Amino acid sequence: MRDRDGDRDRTGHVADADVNEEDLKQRIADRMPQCGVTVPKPGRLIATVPRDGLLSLLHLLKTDGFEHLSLISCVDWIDEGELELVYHLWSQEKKVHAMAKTRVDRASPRMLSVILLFRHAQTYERELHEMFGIDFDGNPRQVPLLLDHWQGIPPMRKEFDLRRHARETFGVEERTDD
Amino acid sequence: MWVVGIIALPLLAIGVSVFFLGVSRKVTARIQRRYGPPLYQPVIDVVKLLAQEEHVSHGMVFDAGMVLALGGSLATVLFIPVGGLHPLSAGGDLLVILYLMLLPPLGLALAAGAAENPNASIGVSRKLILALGYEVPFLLALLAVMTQEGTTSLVAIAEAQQPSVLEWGLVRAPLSALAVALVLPAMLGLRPFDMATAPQEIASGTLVEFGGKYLVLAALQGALHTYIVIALFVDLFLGGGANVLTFLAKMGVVFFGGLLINAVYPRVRIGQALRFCWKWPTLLALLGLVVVMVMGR
Amino acid sequence: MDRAQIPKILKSPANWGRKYSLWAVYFCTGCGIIEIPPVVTSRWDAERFGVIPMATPRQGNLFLITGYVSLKTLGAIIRTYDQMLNPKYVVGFGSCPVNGGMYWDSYNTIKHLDQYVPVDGWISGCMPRPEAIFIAVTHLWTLIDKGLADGYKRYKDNYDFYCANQRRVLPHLPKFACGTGTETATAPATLRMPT
Repeated sequence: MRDRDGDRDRTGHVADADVNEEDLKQRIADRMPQCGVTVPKPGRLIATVPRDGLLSLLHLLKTDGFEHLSLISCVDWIDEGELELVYHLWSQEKKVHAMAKTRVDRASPRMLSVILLFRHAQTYERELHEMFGIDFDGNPRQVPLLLDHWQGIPPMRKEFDLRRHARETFGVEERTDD
Repeated sequence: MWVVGIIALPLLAIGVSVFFLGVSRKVTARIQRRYGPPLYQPVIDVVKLLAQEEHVSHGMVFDAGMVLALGGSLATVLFIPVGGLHPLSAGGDLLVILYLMLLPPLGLALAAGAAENPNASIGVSRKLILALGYEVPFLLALLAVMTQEGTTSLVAIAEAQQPSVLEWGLVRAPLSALAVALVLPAMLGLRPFDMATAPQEIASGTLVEFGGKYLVLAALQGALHTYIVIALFVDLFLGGGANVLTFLAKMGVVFFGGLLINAVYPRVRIGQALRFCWKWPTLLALLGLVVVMVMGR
Repeated sequence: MDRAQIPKILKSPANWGRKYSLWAVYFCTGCGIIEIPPVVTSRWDAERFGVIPMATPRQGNLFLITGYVSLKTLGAIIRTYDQMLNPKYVVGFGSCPVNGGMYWDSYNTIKHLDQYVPVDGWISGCMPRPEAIFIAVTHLWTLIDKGLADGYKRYKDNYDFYCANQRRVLPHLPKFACGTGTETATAPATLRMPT
């Protein structure tokens, strides 16, 4: 039995626990061989694709029952020189949380917008544009949400020196442990 | 001696209306199971507002509109008999009162228009639409009372109800009284009809740009308007008053009833308010008028 | 009202009015605003103290900055504060206006509210309890009595200082748009305190 998050409940009753995810994993692997799929635990599905296959993967997942795009998040792999975009999808009937991951180049990050599939992705992509500097082709509204008139590199990137910026702009006093 | 009446009556009206302001906050607080401010809190508020070091005006029309509104209310007060006090009574003074009661909304609309704030415009439009709503049943009910007594003098109407409770307008023209009672919260600006100065929605509507001494004028005008409406209701339907004290007691009872409704009800939209005012109260007032005209023969 | 107060009221009725009729501008700054509804409603009744929330800044004279102040919020706070009528009192509520609070190293929140808007008192805590708000109100009464709640006078006397600080973090605020765009804002070294 599955609770809302897709994790097993406390009774440990297995029922048809892994059939869903393995099923999906097989289907994705069949249709998109360049995609690496793993099932880390029941209720989770992680599918990794190169950049150009992301839209097809999302379309595949959407038709498979993942009708809700919960979030688009970004991870800054500064040592590898890449930004990893993670699209979190949720299937209400299967109770599975799928993550579609892809990587873009860190120096000039560009990505195709997914607003044709999920219209509300416009806001998530707007936030990522503001915080990481990723340019989404096809998103008509990539204006800042919070940082009007921001000069400087996008603040969520790892090379952004947070303490120095806070000290210089606002005069924060760092606490010295004595 | 009518000079004394002209000076005493507005002072009495101001005193009673400020007292009613304090009572309203205290009673509402008690209904909400808390203690509330002291009864003289409006005095503290007025002192604070007058002691402000700067007052923002938006031009001459702004000042003039506010003064017009307050002047209109003070003039109306002079024509409403309070117990035995009626310094300026004459035939036809009910019609004079009805005309003078149009001045305050006009003055507030002028001032709010000069303030150039969209919230003020919304507040003014809501206020005027609401006035359109409650004037219809109110005037029909007034027509019924005037037809029944055969006079347009408010003093004569009040005195005709003196002999006994059975002579009250409430008993002799019950449908008209019920119609006016239903729109009384709308005339007083109490919930469920307080959308004209809705703090949460339109930042106090007409009063949004009023600070300092202008707010004192506006608050005083609002309080006087409450006094006028309740005094009219008491004179028309609750038998006026043999003397000032019984009159004020009756006013207190009506105000308390309005406060109880105000504390319980939420706010309705202006469209719903208009629809309400033009449905049952208008029908009742119309029916009351027909009954009075038929029984008069 | 006890009789000991009557001489104080007669000496300065203006102070009496300002103390017991503090109208707080209904401006919900940050997460701290969640503490205001319990204070204003029936359980911790603030109306006994004369404090009621007022919808428009033209009528309010107490400004509670509750919680963190991001740059966008600071623009709105400055506009609201400029619209309020003197005398006006600002109270920093929570630890974020004091020194940045838990957002002390954030890229988008200001750390010392006192640099941009004059503050008359601080309430520390994250969040302060409603009782702390009432203690702050009574302290503000004492300050008003002694004439020490003069943030608005500091603002007028040191307007250049405050505007320079505001301009440094918010150069595109509409109130700075009227001047020539090429002048550089240099902050004067010290804040002149009222004598």
